[in-house]
Amino acid sequence: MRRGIKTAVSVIVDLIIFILLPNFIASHIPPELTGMIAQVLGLSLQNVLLILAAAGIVLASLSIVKGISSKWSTVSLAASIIGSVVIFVLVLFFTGLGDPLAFGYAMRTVSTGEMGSTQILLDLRLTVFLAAVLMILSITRAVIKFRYGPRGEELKAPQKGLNPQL
Amino acid sequence: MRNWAKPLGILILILEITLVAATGLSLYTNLQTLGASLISGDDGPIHTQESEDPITGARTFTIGLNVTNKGLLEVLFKLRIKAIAEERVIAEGEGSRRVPPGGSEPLSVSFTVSKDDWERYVGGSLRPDAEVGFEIRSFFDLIGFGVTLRMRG
Repeated sequence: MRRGIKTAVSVIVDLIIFILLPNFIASHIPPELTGMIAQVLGLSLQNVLLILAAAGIVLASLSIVKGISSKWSTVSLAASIIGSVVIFVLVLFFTGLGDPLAFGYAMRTVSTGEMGSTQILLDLRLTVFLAAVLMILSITRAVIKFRYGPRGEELKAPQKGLNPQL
Repeated sequence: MRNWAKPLGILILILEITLVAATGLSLYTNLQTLGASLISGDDGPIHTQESEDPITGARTFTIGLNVTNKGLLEVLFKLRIKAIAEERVIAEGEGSRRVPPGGSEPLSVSFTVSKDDWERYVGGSLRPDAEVGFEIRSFFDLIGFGVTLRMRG
């Protein structure tokens, strides 16, 4: 029951953060700025929202998988690892202004026609470094919990629940 | 090894808070500094001055602005100016100021164009391109952004 609530909350939070909130913010961005974002990112705002929505659906699905599978199963471990990697790739994508291989150091040149050009630099390497450390620690923690977790607990728990009926 | 899971969880939480706080505060500080330094000012944020050396004929241009930090962290503001003609840098100047939160510091950058270059490019038909770039860094100079404008002559 408690795991069910935890899973539901996790799914709802994922959907709010990756689907509802970005769409709400996007609907309040002036059209002039939308064009500028598209030029800088090399992606339209619609595509950015689609990427976020896809990530949100993946993370919500992983939460469901974790919720329905045994806590100490390989499936649950794989879901934890994939979730950490998806979040890290998202951080890489946005800190690199649409280019995950920029590793947080993004440079974009936007042509302003006859007037010349504008070069934009964004240095978020520290953010990427911290996100990478977080991903490694999260995966390590998931592996430790999987490797050394009390696997017998899952089997013992239902028996405890049945005892009063007997 | 089994007991490591809990301390790791605490460490992950601390790092998550650090990541969000460092990135959020830095971007906030940088944007506030950008707005206060380049968009404000009664008579415009940027002041220019021009002088000519009577002996060599070289012209020196000084561009100044007040770097105002309205953010929450210390910022490093860098300003760079270049004049480029025929893919050659004919004059350039660079300067930087470190400003504490709530503070304001004047920053001026000078560059000199020799008499020959002045007569050839600025006074002649080959107008040089102008490049003005600024960079704002905060959180121990680790997080920053910059914009460089290149204007055709």
